[in-house]
Amino acid sequence: MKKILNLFKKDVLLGIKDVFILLEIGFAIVIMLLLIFVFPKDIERDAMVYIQDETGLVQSIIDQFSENEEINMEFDAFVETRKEIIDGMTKNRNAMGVIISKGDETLYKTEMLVQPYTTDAMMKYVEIEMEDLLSMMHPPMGAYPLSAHSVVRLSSLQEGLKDDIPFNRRILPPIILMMVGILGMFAMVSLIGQERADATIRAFRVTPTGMIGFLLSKNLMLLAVSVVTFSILYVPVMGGFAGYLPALMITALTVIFGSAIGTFLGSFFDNPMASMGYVILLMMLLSLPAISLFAPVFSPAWLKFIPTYHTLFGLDAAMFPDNNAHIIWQGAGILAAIDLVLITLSGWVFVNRIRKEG
Amino acid sequence: MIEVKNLFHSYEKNDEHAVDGVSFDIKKGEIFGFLGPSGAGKSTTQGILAGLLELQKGEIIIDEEAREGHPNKAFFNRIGVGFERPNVYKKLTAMDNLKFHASLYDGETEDPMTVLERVGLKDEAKKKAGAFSKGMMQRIGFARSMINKPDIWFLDEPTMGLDPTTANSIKKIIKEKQKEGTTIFLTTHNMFAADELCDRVAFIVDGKIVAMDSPKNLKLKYGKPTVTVEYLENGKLESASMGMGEKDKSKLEKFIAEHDVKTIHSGEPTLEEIFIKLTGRGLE
Repeated sequence: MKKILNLFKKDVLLGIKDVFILLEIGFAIVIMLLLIFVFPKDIERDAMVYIQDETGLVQSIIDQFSENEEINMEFDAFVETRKEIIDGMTKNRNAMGVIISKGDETLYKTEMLVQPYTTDAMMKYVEIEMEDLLSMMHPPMGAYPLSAHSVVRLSSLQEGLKDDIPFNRRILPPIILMMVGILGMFAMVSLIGQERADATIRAFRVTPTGMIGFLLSKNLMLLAVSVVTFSILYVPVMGGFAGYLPALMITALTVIFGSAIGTFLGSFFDNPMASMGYVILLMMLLSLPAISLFAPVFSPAWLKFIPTYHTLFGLDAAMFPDNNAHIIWQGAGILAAIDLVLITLSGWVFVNRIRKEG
Repeated sequence: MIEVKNLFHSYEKNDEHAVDGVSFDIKKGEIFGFLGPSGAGKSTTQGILAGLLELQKGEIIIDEEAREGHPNKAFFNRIGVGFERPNVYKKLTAMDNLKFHASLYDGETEDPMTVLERVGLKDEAKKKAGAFSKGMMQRIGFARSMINKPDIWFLDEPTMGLDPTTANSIKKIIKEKQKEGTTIFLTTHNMFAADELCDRVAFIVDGKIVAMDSPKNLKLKYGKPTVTVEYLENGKLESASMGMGEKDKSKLEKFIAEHDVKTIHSGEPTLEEIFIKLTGRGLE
């Protein structure tokens, strides 16, 4: 472990002195600034609850609070009709609605209206919370039956949902793919090629630290750089950490995929420049699924066989929740499986090629 | 200590062998020179022994243990390899190069500054290797090869490209290491360095060993001592060489009697002359 750490330190030091790391970070900052200041900026909306209260329950609660706690509470979210709630939720994707009416068998009946991206688990949670609240407020009645509550996911809002996401955010997944994910391939070819061109790899090979350590340290360095560049792009443009971890996971898996391809190419070229033609060709191929992301009408089945398809749609699902969490995990699973196969295969090819060359 | 039996190696894995049935042995604490022109198979043999190239055919036995497959960690912990080409990280300082390399070993290593001092680079320790001359980079590579206190040391052209003073200090270090018990495998086409350093040498041409013995024995066996006489003729200084065998003695006496001889120098053949005599070709 200590040896890997020393290798990692050396690779980071060389990465900084070769300007590779600084260049990567610099580019990420420039792109991030462009996305924020040149492309349309998103207007953040606060989470909001629209209330249609036909019973006066909520108002009585507010009045009680105001008297007892000597605080003033003002609500501008009271609406008269269901349509007003839906209009409000269409304008503000962070909003939800609640309709409180007289029940047939119970004192009150509630209906929650939630955004289409709300998960089943969240809907269940809201339902139970409402039941608890009403039961507490009217103990003589005992627990309210479940039939007194309903939670409705407004799927009709689904259409046009993506159109509401500002352009600078919409193009973030392909930018992360190209600038961070595919970086692994480009960087690995360069790093290995440089060690081969300078023959420093020969000096390394006659030490007891094996070639697996050599590749592992480079992968760790690339992952570290990726976390930094990913964060520089993601956090400011997305305006926070929502979806950060799943998106980072997808990105990291893509970096490993790219670096495995880079290792494979690096096995056959002892000069980084000699392999650039293949690198560019592969980059073009790997960016093809972006077309499908923006134009869903172009979605041939074969596109799913390009691993970056899962990167793009995984990132999209992580960044723009739309009841589509399964896409993240499905993409992560596929990428992890591809990584496992490619890392093993490219490592084996690399070690064997190098040993044959002496 | 090291036994090599019937070693073959083909880069293309066909009938063209870069190393073609080479056998030799090296005793503990011996400096064994592998001499030959470029492309003779010196570096390939060293590459196989050091574990850089796969062992295709033949046997390598180290301390009575035959190598099977790729060498293990224990082997790499005990060897040092100096390369012909100065292959150091140019963006790192001389010190960082050595520190990094030292960190790759399991056992005790030399103090990087002490090693740099030995190769005359103490004052340059904190300078980037990329700013060094080729000779200085060569010295970092040499210093690196002994950072793990190796007991088997592979050196490929250790004095190539060095000025005479630095080359002498490198040769002195090699001799000191030998006294400490290090076994040294040295490949070179510098016959003078080999003559000076090696206990035994092997001449290799086209992948085959053509002669193997101590430099002195090779010269005695295949060389002929000569006498060079300088004499005045028509006011001009001329020179003539002749052998020192029984038949040549009377010829020399007669020559001295008949000429105005100014100087007489006896001389023994060089290793290079023996090499040319045995192989019919030079070393470049």
